[in-house]
Amino acid sequence: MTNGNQVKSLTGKKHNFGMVIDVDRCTGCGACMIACAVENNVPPGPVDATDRTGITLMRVYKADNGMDFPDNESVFFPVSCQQCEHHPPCVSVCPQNAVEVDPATGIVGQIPVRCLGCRYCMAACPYHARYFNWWDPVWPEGMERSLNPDVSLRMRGVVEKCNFCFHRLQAAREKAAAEGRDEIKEGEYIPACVESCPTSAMTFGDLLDEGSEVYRLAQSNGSFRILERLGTGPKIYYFSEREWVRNIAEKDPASALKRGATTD
Amino acid sequence: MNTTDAINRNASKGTDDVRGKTIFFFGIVGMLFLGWIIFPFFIYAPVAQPVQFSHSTHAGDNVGLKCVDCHSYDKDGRFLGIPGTSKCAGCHSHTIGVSDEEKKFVDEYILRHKEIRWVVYSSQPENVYFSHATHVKVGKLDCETCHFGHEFTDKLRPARFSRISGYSIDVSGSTLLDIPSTPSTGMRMDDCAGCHNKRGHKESCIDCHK
Amino acid sequence: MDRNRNNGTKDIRLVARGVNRMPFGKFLYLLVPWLIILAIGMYAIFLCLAKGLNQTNMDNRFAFGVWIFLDLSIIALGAGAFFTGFLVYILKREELRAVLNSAVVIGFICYSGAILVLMVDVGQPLRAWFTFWHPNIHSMLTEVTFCITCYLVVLSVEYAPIVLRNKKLKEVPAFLAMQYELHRIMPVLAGVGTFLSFFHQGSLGGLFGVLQGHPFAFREGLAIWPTTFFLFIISAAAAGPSFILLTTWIASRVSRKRLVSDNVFALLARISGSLLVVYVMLKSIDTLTWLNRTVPSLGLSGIGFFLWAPFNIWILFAEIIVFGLVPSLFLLFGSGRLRTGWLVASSVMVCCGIVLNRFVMTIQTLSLPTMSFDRFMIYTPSWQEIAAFLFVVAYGVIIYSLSFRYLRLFPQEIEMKVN
Repeated sequence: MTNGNQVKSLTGKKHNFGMVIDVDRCTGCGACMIACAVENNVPPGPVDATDRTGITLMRVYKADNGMDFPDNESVFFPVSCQQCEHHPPCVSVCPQNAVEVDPATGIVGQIPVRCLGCRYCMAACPYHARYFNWWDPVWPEGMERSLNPDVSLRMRGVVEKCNFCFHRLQAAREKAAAEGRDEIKEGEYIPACVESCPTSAMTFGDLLDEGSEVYRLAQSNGSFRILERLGTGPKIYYFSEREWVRNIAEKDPASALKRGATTD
Repeated sequence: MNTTDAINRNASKGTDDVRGKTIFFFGIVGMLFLGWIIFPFFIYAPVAQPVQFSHSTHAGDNVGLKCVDCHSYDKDGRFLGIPGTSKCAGCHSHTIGVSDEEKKFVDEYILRHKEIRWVVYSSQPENVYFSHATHVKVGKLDCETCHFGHEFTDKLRPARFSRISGYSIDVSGSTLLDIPSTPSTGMRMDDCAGCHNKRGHKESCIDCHK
Repeated sequence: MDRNRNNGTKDIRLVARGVNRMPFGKFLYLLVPWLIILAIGMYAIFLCLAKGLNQTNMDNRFAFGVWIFLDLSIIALGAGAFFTGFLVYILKREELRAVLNSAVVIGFICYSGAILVLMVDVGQPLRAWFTFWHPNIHSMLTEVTFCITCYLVVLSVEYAPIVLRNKKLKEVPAFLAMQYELHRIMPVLAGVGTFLSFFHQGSLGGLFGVLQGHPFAFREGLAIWPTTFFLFIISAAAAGPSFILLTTWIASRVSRKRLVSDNVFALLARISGSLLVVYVMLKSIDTLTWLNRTVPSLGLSGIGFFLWAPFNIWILFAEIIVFGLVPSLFLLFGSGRLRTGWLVASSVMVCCGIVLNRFVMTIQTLSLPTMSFDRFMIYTPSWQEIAAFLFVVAYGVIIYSLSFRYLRLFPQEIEMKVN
């Protein structure tokens, strides 16, 4: 195990990137999902792909308070890889070290070219945030010219997931290096989903930086994390003023059954 | 089992042992030779450069160019690689008359405003991320650290690409007990990792693999 | 007299001396349906390899499907090979030599079949060597991969002398010598096999026990292993002899011969029964601990896992009581008294129980929601998945039939005939 403090990164300072999503502001529009797919060269998927076989590195879930009209209220949870901090479930299970936590940024990296496609990490992830390439990537004629050159394509048979648009961090670092700085400035690096959110519900930054907005929000009263009880230390925080929303994060899934939820 | 049998068996066992070990030894040596030395010659196909170019002339005392005079960065710090012909035209807009190759270059490319399809020795696989700016400006490395000797070459050697993976011999292959499997100019993953380890940079896979 | 009886068999020269086998034509005729299944399965496997895993109905949620379930099941059922070897060579239970060869063949079939399906199941089979070259020592799957491939090698080496003792092959002096040499190292192989089997059977259990993200499968650990590690070892050791008993009985019914004496059946039943009693006890303790300690500590109610139809509480009841406790008592206390038919029926139940346990660990684990706004999901395998599954079954039947016909799987067969 690498001791976090002794790690000397190329760019010096140690970061712990995280995100706070204000679900009170999320309208469930799905712009983050689209931005993510475009940024990360996610192929459109063949006609027989379903919502269970398609790739959505960022996925918006809907939940409600279980009441009938007119008291019914709903909320949207954009869920991507939660970038777990302590023993991420997917890291230790990978038989060939294709997943690891980058000690300099806290980002859980997945290397598709090392991936064997055993899918054990997918079974291990409680957030279902990992996706398998069931098909070879194919783009409609001409669309391949719009691909992002900073992100490599994934072939069929490997697993992929959100890595907080790590290539954007690389680009920011490179720009800083060209300008002779060895450290990036706050705001120079944000993932595509955060950039695209029309209601600015997502805040991204360094959770170690006590002056940052993301630190303030993560420490605030309304912040919570999904499945915090599993002890994996997810670095995506959610924020809501509403108590019932905050309670959803830790609620027993079986409690939905009592309200007569369907089983599929 | 009677005694004579046992003695015979032991005696023949002794010679068998020596013979077996000899065969085993030469088998291993032969296999290593085949795999490590002969095999790369078959697996890599040479591809010649479309135009010859002398780094030693350009970087030498007569012309005196620095690497960055031609190989520069854009404003985001991205390395621009091999310059386009417009940059060459700065000096070679018309034939200076130093060589036949120069005449060919001016006639076929400069005057026709065509770009040269250089064969890049060091082109990394698609899934590799590398930043020149980080290494040169923050890491303070010289170009020669990785491209050693390149500025003194008089000719462009043919590039060699794997017939299976399509990767250049300069970037593919690995080392076993520090013996490289292919001749290299220092741009294989093992070279990167070796240098990083030596300098105490502990990186993750995603730092170089996208 | 034997010669006369074997007149109808064209392949008489390959059949062991002193045993009778059905006419060659009939043998082929019986194999035809299995060969057809084998061909269809091969086509399905070809489709999956050529077009990719989109040929299956697995999805991002059911990352593990019917194939992983199959692997877990047949590896558990194939445990008879290591356990019989362990009993014969290490604990010197010579009576079990009567089924040892058969057990080795069964083990070989199960492990080679499992590895075959695994190679289809992974997305990039050509990268299989990555696990050996860049192993992550913390992963249970690494342990499984290393152990089952090593153990398949061990089983192949154990299988080799059985093949080399074929009447025709024996005529080659080198084969005979090799067979003799191999035979001498059998106790060592049995020891190695036992060691490897302990680890991978356990790791297959650990595979699910370590899933901290799935409280349904997650178990607290003893030392560095979750309890499922130990439960899988014991359950496989218990199911192995049962499956040997079952296959021996089937072979004996199909060939209409007595292959082993009744006391071998009784011994297998007693071994299986006593291990199963221990297993049921430990499994019950484990389940109660999990329900009352592990799950509540995560803020969940244990019963919540069993509210999702069709995987209701019956599945727990069936696994532990109906297919666990009941056959274990039959096998343990009935081994000396009950007729073989009862023991066979109980063995079937034991095997079903183990298979059900593996089903629960793989399929039910993945079907249950983990987040409160998540859905319960089920999945139906595609025909390609089922065909590949059946391919392994047909492959096993064919290999076993050929081995039974041409190799000496049951040394007692000849004396049984005389009696």
